[in-house]
Amino acid sequence: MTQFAITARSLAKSVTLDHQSLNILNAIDLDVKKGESLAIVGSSGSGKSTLLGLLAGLDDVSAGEITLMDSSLSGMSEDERAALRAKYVGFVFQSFQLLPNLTATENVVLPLEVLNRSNPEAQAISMLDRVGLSHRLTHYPRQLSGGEQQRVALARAFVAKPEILFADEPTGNLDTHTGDNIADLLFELNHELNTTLILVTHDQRLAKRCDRIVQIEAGTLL
Amino acid sequence: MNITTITRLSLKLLMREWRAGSLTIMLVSLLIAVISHSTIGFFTERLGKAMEAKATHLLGGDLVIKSPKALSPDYFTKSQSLDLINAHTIEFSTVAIAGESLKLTSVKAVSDNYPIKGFLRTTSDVEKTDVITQEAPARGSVWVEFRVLSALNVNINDTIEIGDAQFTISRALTFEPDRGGAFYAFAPRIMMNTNDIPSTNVIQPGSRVDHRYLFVGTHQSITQYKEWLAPKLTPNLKVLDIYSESPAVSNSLRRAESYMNLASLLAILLASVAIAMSARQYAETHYDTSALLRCMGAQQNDVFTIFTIQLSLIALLAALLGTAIGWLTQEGVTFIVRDLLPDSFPPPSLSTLWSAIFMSFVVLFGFSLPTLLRLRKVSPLRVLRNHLEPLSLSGRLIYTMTFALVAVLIYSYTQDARLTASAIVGGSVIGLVGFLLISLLFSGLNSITPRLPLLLKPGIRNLVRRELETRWQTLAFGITLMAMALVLMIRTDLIEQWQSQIPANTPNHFVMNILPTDTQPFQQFLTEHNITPSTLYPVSRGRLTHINGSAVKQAVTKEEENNEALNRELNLTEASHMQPENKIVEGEWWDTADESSSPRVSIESRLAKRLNINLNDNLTFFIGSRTLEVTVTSIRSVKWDSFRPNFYIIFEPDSLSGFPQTLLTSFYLPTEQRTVLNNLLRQFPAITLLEVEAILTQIKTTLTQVTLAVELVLSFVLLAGFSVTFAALRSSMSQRLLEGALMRTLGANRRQIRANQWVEYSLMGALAGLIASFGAESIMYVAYTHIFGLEYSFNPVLTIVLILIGAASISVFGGLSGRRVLKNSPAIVLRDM
Repeated sequence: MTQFAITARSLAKSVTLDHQSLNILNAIDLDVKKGESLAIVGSSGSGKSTLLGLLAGLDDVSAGEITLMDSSLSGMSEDERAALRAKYVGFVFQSFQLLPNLTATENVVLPLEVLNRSNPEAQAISMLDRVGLSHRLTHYPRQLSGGEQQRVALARAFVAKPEILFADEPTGNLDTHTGDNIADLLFELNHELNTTLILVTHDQRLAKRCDRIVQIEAGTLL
Repeated sequence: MNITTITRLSLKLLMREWRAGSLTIMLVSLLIAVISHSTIGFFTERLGKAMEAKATHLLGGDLVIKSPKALSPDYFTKSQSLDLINAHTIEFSTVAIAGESLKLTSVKAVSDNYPIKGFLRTTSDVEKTDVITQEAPARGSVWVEFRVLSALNVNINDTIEIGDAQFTISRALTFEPDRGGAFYAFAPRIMMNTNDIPSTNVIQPGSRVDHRYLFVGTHQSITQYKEWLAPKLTPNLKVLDIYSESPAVSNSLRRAESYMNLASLLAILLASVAIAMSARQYAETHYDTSALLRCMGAQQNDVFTIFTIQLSLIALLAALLGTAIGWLTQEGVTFIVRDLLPDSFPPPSLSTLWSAIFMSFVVLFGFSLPTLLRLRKVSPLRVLRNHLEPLSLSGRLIYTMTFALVAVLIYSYTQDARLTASAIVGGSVIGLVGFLLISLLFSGLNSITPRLPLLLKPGIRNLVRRELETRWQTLAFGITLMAMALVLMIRTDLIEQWQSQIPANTPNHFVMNILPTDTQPFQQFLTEHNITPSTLYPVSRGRLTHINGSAVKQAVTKEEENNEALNRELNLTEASHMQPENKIVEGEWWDTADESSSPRVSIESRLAKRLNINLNDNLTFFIGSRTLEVTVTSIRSVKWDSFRPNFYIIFEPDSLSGFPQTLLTSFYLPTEQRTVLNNLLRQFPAITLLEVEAILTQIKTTLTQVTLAVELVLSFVLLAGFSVTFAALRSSMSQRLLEGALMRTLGANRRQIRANQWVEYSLMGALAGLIASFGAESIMYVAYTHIFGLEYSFNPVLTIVLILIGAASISVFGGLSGRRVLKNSPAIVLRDM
């Protein structure tokens, strides 16, 4: 067992557009300790979301190697990576990504059902209570405000108690005040559950609340 | 994820989807497919059984063996072991005598339990109407046709002699079920009991008699008996079924069957288009769910299984619910038309339920599999990049799958590999040409848009902008309209054709043996009684003896030696013009006189084929006491079910003069004027009168029922067509809602948006109408000439009507389903999107 939740070595990602290869990420080396919170900052198009996707095993690397909780992602099939995600990883997205036909509770139950955990409803309700939504359990996403939707998303992300949480611009769609509240809740839960947090943002205030900040520009870590 | 979790999750998600109403379109489309399949299935099965029952009434049994000799006992041992009921009839010609009067009659001796299918109609008083009779004449008594009474100058309860025995006429026979449409049965009928035959001594070794053994039993027993009989059949021993006996009924049945199968197939295919569209929409709205589940760690197969379970449940629900509604619908239809249906309308079987379940799964999975497989391939990265669409399956794979499925569906309905193949090839050609035509029209529209009035521009731009999607939609509408037009046109033509087959005042009486000397007074008699006869045909009775100088029995194959045309005298006629229902297949009709060679004849095509007679062959006839050599100069097809006098062999004018001749004609006589016949027979005792009213009535009833079934089937095709239209319009609704909301945010008023919608939809409809007309005409040409045997002619009015209907219907449907674009506030639409 190493002390690192994630390590990335010589990471590169390129795509082919109109028969031309386009490098999005170049020679990225990165280590994230267990329990550490890391902010990846950069301007739009710098490659920070692509890096997040690769670190979380959502996409294939073009070159280099990633180790997630001591398992190398190299050579893993999509399904093998999915199994790894189920075990260790949680997500929070800028656009919340709640399923519109499910209530708040049902959305939070979903990852527990995928993991086949027992008594998922009780755990979901308890987590919704923790994020301050005990009065919104049966509401559908469209009946909730943006801040409330992101709280549901936080509850969903933390309910399975993941080792690592990836957050992609978690306050990007919210006003400053609501964004601050969500950020508070995110860091509180992070500390409570001792989760490793990897957060992508271009909001310097949010980034500063993390233990460490790395900056990415034109696909390279500065 | 283990299977229990997957199933639980799948059910939960399905329930939530159901609650949210996002499965409605798919379920409704599938329901329409299943309802049309099951209603048509149940109803046609029952109607088919009823019509078959009616047809077997015309035959006298479910199966009939015809033989010149009595059958050996093993035939009955076998039939009894299969629990078949059997009756026996013996037909022969003999002279009946009453006092000084003699008449050649056709006697039918029947066993005690006759009739076993259908019923007789008889009367014990000539002045009274006839009644249904379900028994055979008692021993010692006979039932006779009216013309026997007039020919022998006797009445009911009088005595007549047949051979050595005397019989009392206890009833007049007005209808016998198994007389069929054989109009050569000229001699009037006497019906007696088979037990009386020995006492008459008329049947001697070598006598020409026709034994018929009628069998009734379950479908399975009849089939088993038929199989047992097959190796025993000889040219003399024939098995008759409904298709070989009454051409008028069987042709109508066959056409109705082809039509109903074609129409239900179209209904299913149309609903399938709707299902494919809603399945695509279903898949698209589930990309996010799939991506999220993958993100949370669900495997590709887990996602696939989750959606497969959901679709299976939808298919099962649609099958059960659809079949239940289908059953109720056909019960309703049966109730509404109960007066037209036979008294015992057989109940439907469970087979339709099984086929509905099978069809529901095949159609739903078949047409949604390509999109379902795409759901499996959704990348989890979509949670970060919303525009990331899953890779589409290869076009070749999708097309192969779709073609295979459509082929399976068509084959299961038609059971005809050649027809299936031509439908697939034809359908693809129509689809391809239609798509190219649409593309061409779109690029034309694109180039003329700048020169169009401002009011039209936004609508046309909308249409052209969503080019690929609109092209598919237009093609779908086109195919839908085409299917509807096809079913409607073919229905109209079929019904017209049936009605023209037996128009009002179709001759219900045939008169033969009119002496040339009686011609004038006979015509006068008819005129006096307001009866209009058809043409009077001269008839000479003659036998075909030689073909190209060889005696016929040597000239034909062994099987044809017993052909009735060779074993009896034929009715030969001469005519300068061909009858309207006849058609020259080979050679030419005589328009000019030709005195150089032997007289010319025209021969009926089926007889020519059976006796291997070709153009320019020499035929020798024995007429009266002389021979006549003639040359075949034309071969004709004849519609034997036209209820008009028709002839196997027609001679050129004047070639039969000098030979003994009588005349033949037919006329229509209303039932209430029937007493005229007695006077006619009294005044012209030499004539032979044949009534065919009962047969006509039976055929008319059958046709009415067939027409009814056809109309019912049509309504389902229309319903399925509407479901496609709605599904297609709904599939692009979210995009239209968003565009509408944006336009309104940018300041467009409702009137402008409505005008744009109308322009866009009516143009799309008009283009669809054009495609529909092209497709419908192509298919009709093939269907008419190859399936239904009807005449095809191009119908320019159809093109115009289809364009107008297309424009009107799509703009109305589009306008109705697009009301949400105008109704919902832009703020809500934009937020929900």
